[in-house]
Amino acid sequence: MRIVVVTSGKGGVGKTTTSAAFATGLALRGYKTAVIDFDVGLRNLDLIMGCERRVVYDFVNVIQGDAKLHQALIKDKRVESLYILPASQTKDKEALTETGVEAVMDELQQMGFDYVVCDSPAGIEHGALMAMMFADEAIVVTNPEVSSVRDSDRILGLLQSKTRRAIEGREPIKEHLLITRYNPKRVEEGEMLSYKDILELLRVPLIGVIPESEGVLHASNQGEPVILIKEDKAAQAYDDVVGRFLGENRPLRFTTYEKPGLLKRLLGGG
Amino acid sequence: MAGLSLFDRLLGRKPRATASIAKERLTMVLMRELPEGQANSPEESARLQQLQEEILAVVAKYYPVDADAIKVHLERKENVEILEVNITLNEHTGSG
Repeated sequence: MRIVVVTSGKGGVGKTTTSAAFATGLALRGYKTAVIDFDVGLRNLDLIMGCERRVVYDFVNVIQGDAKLHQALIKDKRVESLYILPASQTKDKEALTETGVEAVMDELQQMGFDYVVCDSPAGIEHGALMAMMFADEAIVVTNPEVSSVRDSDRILGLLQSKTRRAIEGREPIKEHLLITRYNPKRVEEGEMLSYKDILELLRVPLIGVIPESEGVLHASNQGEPVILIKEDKAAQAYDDVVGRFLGENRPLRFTTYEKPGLLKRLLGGG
Repeated sequence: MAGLSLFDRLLGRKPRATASIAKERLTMVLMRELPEGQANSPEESARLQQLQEEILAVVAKYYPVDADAIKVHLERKENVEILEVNITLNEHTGSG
């Protein structure tokens, strides 16, 4: 079993959207996958996954022994082998104890899960630290924007010092950089940091660039992981991310801007 | 081109290219925010190596110096950073 944390430091950059899409993508390929919401107190993964009405027990209930893990895990209705563990809305983040989280990870391993995707809360506090604690790999989600890049740099420092792998001196967490809300047109015009700039600044291998897309909002409106909206470019970019994560060679897409032709401009396209 | 009014567009005004400013500012803050004790991270070492080569190249324009005659050391304590540069000139270089 591999544990993957989706983290960023900054809020609103697309951690939950990414966690939902990535976990769904892994499950679509047949891997038994659990996606866990670590944002205790501000749960949202259930909404993005469209299972908010099926939440009975949550992550904290399991940790505190009020429910069994199999009672709290919600089986996705669309994708076989995909399970969601929602966060608690009422408890505070301190309810996530290190031993409690570890016990849940151990049990997921015994249940035969291939992947656990940990959706981290924003910030660098307890919840974020618990989300990364047991990770084998990390997807650091970054927007092409100064505060997001700086926060990602902070998070990379924590991944290298505060996690189990770091503390025990094991092989470090494998880091991946994911750039979201990318707008090639604005990059072309010099208004937005390019993915190459960000790579140069953060020096972490790139796993993908997700273009800014209307599909993301449509998907969250309906409680559908964006990766399932196949015709959307963000969905296709997320599919590439999953492919690359599994070792496939997928060239970058949606990173260059092509000027619309005259006809398209006259017709109001682009 | 959000943020530009129709008027701006008619005049052919372009949005300011601010991405390069962002990159420059980030390069500075990320360099400064390296935690203590990490002064010799691979990135830092590479940067110091480059600094060393560039300083040496400049000095070499004016005085003959050996390639290994320079020592650059960066020390970081709490809020103070000390960059120490030591260059030994060739013995025959002295004016006497």
